[in-house]
Amino acid sequence: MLAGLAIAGLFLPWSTTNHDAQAPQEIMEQPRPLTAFSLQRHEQAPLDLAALKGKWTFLFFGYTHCPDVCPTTLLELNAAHGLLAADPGVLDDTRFVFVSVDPERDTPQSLAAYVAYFNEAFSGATGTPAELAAITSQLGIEHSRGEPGAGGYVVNHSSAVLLIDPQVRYYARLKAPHYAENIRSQFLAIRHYYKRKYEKSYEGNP
Amino acid sequence: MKHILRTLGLCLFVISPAIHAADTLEAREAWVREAPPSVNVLAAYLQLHNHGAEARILNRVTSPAFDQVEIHRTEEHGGMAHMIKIPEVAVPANGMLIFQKGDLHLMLIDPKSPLKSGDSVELTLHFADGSTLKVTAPVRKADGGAAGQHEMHDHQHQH
Repeated sequence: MLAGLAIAGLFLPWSTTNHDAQAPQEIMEQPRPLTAFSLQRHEQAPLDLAALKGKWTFLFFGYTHCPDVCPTTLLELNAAHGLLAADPGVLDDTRFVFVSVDPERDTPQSLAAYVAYFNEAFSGATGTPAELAAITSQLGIEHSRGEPGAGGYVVNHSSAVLLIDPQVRYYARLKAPHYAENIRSQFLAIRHYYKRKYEKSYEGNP
Repeated sequence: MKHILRTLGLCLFVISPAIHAADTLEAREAWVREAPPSVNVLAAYLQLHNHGAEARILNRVTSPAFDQVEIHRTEEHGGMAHMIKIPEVAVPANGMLIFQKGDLHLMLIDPKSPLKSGDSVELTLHFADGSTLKVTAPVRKADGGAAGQHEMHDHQHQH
């Protein structure tokens, strides 16, 4: 029974019906180059196409008045960051960005303190609703205000963690719930696949 | 004499849950996740075990440490996380109710003073039958990853 589970666990992620049977299931069928957008960061260059070039970027969208999902995800990303530190060279070309979809309450400055609490290497970004829409619409990220309560309003938001590749393409979507071990192994699988597929043609400059 | 007192004490301890309805409820593993700086909403997690033969309805939570406490549940629909305010929730007879990450949680709003890991918070759970249960929840700085798996491991053992 245990052996059966282990085997199913090993092969399931790979037995997709995609044309490309070897691709990890999180990968977009067609990696899509991002189009222009710009978000503000505290005491850092804006987050835009130029800022994303040359490294892998984990993107997570949420808001700081979120007591459950957002801290849980950021803690898992922090733990994944810790695990990836043992994988040679991986963190050198990887960054993590938390984007607030609640610019009314989250400023670039307050976001910087919020994100640093989880990991000092992570950065936080936000923008006006129009600036946010320029990036969320490309990534299938939805967000909307829920009912107002004693703590103000809640924001319902996509829970996926997205991966942007070093060529600044929307490359993979990791679905919730997020676990550090899975984030690490999915990312390593995705990087391995990417390397085999693109390394020769890619002339990035990390 | 000492022996008799001890035996008596033990008897009282064993008998008392059957006398007071409130005592058939047990809170375990309560904790509050420390919040990042400037954040005024925190989450508390706990397990409620009902050793009684009747379901108990939790309909209000108060705390001297916060302006407001709400019962919330995170729900995933179509890849979106929704936070739903829950007016009341049942602890089933001879069963349990688990508040955990990504699921049912207590949303603690506007701490009266900043809370750090090592502090503790008093929560009063109010039930529809008029009974209350006081719970002391330590504030902890949570880790992700292995720590989260450990919590799940513990949780499975208590089933």
